[in-house]
Amino acid sequence: MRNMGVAVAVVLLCWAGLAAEKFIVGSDIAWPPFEWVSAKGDYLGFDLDVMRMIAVLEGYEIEIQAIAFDSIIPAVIAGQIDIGASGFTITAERAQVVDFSSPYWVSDQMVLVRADSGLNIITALMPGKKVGAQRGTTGAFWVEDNLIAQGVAVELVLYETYPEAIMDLLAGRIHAVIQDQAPSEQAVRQYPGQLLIAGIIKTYEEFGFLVAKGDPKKILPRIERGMQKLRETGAWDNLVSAYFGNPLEVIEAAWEACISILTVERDPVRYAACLAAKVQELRK
Amino acid sequence: MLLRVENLHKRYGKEEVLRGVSFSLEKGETKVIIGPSGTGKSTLLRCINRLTEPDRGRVFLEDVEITSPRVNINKIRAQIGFVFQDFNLFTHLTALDNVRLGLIRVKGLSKREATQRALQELARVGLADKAKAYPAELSGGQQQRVSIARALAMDPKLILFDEPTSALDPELIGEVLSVMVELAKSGMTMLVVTHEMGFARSVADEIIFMEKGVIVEQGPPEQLFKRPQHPRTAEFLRRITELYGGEG
Amino acid sequence: MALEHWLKVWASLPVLLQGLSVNLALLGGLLSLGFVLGIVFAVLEVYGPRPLRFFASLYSWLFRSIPEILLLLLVWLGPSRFGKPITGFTAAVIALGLRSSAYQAQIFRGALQAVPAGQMLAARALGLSKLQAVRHVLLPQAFRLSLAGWGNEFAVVLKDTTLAYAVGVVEVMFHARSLGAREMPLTLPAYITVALLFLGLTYAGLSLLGVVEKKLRIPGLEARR
Repeated sequence: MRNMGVAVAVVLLCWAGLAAEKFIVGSDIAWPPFEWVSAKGDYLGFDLDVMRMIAVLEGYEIEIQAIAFDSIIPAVIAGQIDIGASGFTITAERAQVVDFSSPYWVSDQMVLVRADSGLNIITALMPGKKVGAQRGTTGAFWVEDNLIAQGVAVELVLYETYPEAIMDLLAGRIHAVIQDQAPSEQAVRQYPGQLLIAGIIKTYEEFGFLVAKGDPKKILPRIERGMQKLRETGAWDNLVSAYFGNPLEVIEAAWEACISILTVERDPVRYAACLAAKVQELRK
Repeated sequence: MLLRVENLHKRYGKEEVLRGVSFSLEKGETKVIIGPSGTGKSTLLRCINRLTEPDRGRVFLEDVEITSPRVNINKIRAQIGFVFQDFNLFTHLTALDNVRLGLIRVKGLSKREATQRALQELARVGLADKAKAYPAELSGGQQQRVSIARALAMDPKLILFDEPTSALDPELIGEVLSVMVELAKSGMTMLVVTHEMGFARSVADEIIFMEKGVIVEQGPPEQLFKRPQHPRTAEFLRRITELYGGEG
Repeated sequence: MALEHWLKVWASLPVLLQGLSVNLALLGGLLSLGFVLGIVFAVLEVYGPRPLRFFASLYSWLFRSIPEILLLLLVWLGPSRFGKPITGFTAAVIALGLRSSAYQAQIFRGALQAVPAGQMLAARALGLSKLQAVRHVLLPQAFRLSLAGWGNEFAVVLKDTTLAYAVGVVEVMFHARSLGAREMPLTLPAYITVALLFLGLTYAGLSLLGVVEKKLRIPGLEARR
């Protein structure tokens, strides 16, 4: 009996050791629908749910840590966090210091103007116009590389957060804001009749999850395998249909109704199906 | 012999403030040092308890060489009272706490013992009723009396007075001097730098006349005031009498 | 800024207050660390032997020169490079505490130097060691003289605690930003609410210091300021 007890203890310890394998995911949780804080205070969003689902599929734990966007890559490099999941566009510059997963999302940039401004995509980006963007984002880089560097003298105004840029646009201090498609659409939904999509800039940016250079903890293969499983089972499509093009309150309600399927029952496929169905149901 | 000073030298930059000063003090003796300003009298006092480090020369308290680098100077200073020209009472402490601080922190007395002792000393200088007062609430004369009480409380072997009345308004000088007279009478060993010739004459066992970093002449008051041996002494005494009025 | 947006922000007040409690915990930690180190370095800079004096002024200069954000990231990320990760909160307390200590050292140094030299002389003449003199005579006076400057430092570092989000500390500004990110029209009401909370805190802190100052007031000591 005693030997049996020891054996059980050893097994439990090993199991605990395995279960304790935990990766820290860093994300700037202020960029819906990829990541945001719900009215109830939960961290949700497309990126974060993908991370949670893959963790279940691949048998590891994750801890999601809210960190300012600019700090995420330095923190990954230093080993403070293991994975960056915050709508990162894969760029050659970033790829020199971190390793990216294969692309999981493709985005274009959108230019927003005030509905009453009468500006269009051409006139909004003419010399002398003030164009707002969030610091460190590809929208800001696009303006620098494709307008200013090419001699189109727009004035680029940088903000710490995207909402601050929108505030200034509404207040009439700048003429346009450039930002990724999904958050831009979100903004238009939240200011009905006040904001207008002046146009889309086809930048074809690919988003990736990122880990430390050389992937010392061998996380990327597991993320790839996880993404593949999600796609094969249709969970990926369900997740996309739930998260994109819907009001945040609806997504939050659906998430609350379904999340236990993922966290308690640990069934990502059924969770995604539940989320998509619930969103459809609530939108009616 | 209680205090022996041997050949003290001190130089500040180019200026040699003490140029070989030697004298001694017996137990119970009061010696007064007089002389023009800037002749190194204050420096001499500070060299004795090493608030200022002498460049050369030796100082002995009883048989202990104070100027030895091996000596624990804090222990020595606790045995030598020092009364400053501008009192230097601790601004943030009441009269009682000013007197108690050294008793508690240096002598290691309990708070109760220290309080008792401090109140005794304040009473001795006539300020028992001012125990709770802060320095800023006291007159200059009262502050100087507290500072004497602070020195006395430590039960010192000798007290050094550095022009104790020079910062006082004339009407306040008397109360401090009378405390000092009482002290001398009670057998305290005192070394006093002062311009108060009346005090020097009536209380001192011996007077030391210093000028330009050296002792010019020393002797009993009678001799020094009536029959100065040195023309510089006579000259100084004549001028100081003109300045402060006739004495005795 | 319609009323409904304000109402929504106020409904989230518990969350903001919870975030503010993190800022307060940070403040407590960094001020304490800064206070202890500040005193040590002030005393070293004024009374220490020459090499230590030099080191103390170098320290003050260093931590006042490095930009706060950079210092935060260095303290946060440095240890994990050596396999000893620390939490963002600890990093923020250390980084902001070190920085504050450099400023507090300057405040205390000024106050120590404002205490007349005779105080030290009198203490030494009694037989107190240099350290005892500093502890029982110089510092008690210097503290009282430095209360005003210290109040200023309190108000500055209180605001600095919002920088901690850079190292992943979920504090009040994070929650305010989150409100705006989820529903953009809440951005300004949320920021204004946080500003009001900080105004209140600064006012409360300075009032408290005022009370302390009055309590510690000693005739003759404040006059020298």
